[in-house]
Amino acid sequence: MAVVAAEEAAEVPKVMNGTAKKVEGAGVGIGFREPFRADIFLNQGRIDLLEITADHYLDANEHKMRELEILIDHFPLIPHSLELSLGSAEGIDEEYLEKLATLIDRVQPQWFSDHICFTRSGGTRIGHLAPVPYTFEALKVFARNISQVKKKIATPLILENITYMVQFPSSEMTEAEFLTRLLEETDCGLLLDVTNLYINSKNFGFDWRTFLDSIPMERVVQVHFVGSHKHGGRLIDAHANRTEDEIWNVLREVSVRTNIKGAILERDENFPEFGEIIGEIETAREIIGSAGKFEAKAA
Amino acid sequence: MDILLDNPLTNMYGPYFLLLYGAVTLFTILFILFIKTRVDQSDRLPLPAIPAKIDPYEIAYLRGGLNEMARTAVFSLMQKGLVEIKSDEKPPIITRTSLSDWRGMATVEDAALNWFVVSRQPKEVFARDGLVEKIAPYADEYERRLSRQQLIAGPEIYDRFSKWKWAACFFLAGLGGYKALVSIMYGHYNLIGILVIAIIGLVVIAISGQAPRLTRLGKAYLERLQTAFDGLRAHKPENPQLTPAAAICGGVVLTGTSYWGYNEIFEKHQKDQAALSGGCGAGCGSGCSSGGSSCSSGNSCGSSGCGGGGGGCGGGGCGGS
Repeated sequence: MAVVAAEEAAEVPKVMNGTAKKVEGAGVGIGFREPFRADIFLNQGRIDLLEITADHYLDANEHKMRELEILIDHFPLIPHSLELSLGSAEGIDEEYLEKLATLIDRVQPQWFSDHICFTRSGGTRIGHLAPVPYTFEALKVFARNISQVKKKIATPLILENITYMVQFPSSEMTEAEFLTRLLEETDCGLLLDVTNLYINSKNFGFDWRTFLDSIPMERVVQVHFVGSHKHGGRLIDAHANRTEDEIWNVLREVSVRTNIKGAILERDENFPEFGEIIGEIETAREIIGSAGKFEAKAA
Repeated sequence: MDILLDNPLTNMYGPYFLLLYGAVTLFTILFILFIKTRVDQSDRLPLPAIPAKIDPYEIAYLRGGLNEMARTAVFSLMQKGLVEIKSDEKPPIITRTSLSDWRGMATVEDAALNWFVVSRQPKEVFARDGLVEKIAPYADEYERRLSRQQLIAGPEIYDRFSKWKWAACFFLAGLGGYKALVSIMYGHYNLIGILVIAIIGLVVIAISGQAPRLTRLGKAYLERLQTAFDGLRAHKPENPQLTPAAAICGGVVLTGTSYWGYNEIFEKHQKDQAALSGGCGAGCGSGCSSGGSSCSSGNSCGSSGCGGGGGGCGGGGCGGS
């Protein structure tokens, strides 16, 4: 923490007006986690935006809501939900959607995101981001559910690619084809998780560059990045490690190919000293900035 | 002249007047409490942003006046290894260490270190000619700035409230005095009821009529700081962020660290002081500012979660998340 003497402190500090902040141009930030809270405020100048887990604020207690208000006052926020379950054949949970709409109305973000997966089946939450088979039927389900979400929430929804441990034999197309059709049919943006892409490419032996060739890169709005984790001979997205060089390379390539509006470091476990987090944010800013498609705010 | 001695009030049967006087006293007290809520309109102002660079002494001053500033200075010196608490002494003493490298210190810390040229007992920190007096000049700028931002009550709030308070006191004393005077003129000397009600009313107004040091905006801002920086308590003892954490949330953040002795002796001293003075309670350790105007952070303690005797920050503000 920088400790300053009285005479050095700002004479009249900024005041907060309770309105949402916007990402100007583009920004690099971090997924907000409570253990980071103090450090995030101490490093305000080096964090352009925060991604909040929407689910943490849907039935929040007073303390969490107070936290949310403070975050709204200090950072552009991007809600990232976990339980819309856009791939559920049974449709969207209306109550969840209602709560999410209320949150988004309060936060007034430029966009919000969820995953290309299902998390609920037969009315039961399965507690996991489950992949869907890449079929035309699944596309219809996504299109119907996303249409329902869009009727309720005007803020643009962007969709995130996930990792998977199996490839369904019933799939009628590749992941890239599915993603392309999905984005175009629903007119949604893409939250490209470069770590997930890298993990899938390693686990299933495809070239991530070819994957990038096959998807509508102009639809990429935001990226996620974090290190991968090796487990039982496979890579998994544990959100627990420092971003490795191979993943920086994916980010570099994505940055060259498209205009990213936001990049978020997703760290959920094995928290390092915050200096390491800031270091990763700076690296991402440098990579994206050097691609010339990104006006790095806090560089 | 006749009307002054012969009117419904002077002719009122004694017990009925006492009922009326009691009701008027109660109403006056409620009116003053209402005015108290109206003179502080700082909550209409936008909250200041949470700074990325924190001056722990300013926050400490906001939270608990000079006492808290002094406590923060002592802790900071301890953390820098420049003073130490010898808890095995009876009473414990705070003494300088042999460490002589104190570059990069705040001016308040310089002054505090000089004050520790001889070993001191914790109670001396707050005593006349103690550390709080030594560092008082450094608080002037904080007082001006925080008052200008309406985070603490400035003279205009005190003056505005004072006028109402005095008016209420004169009204109560005047009404009781008038009835008493007329009663004496008519040969009625049993004035104990009037006296009791008047004294109770005046005392209650004097006590409850203290304008709080921390404004509503100040309380809200402090709560924000405590929410935002709650996590600092988890930092390692050698981490310099622990000093601002102690300034924001109180000594309770040191629980479980190697500095627990610091919190313990100040907590004990605070309780002793409160027991002796009967003044500001031990519950809001930071509250008794040397100015003695009020239990300064007492108001914030209740709602923002400053608990514990050490000026701590319990559940609500810095509480578990």
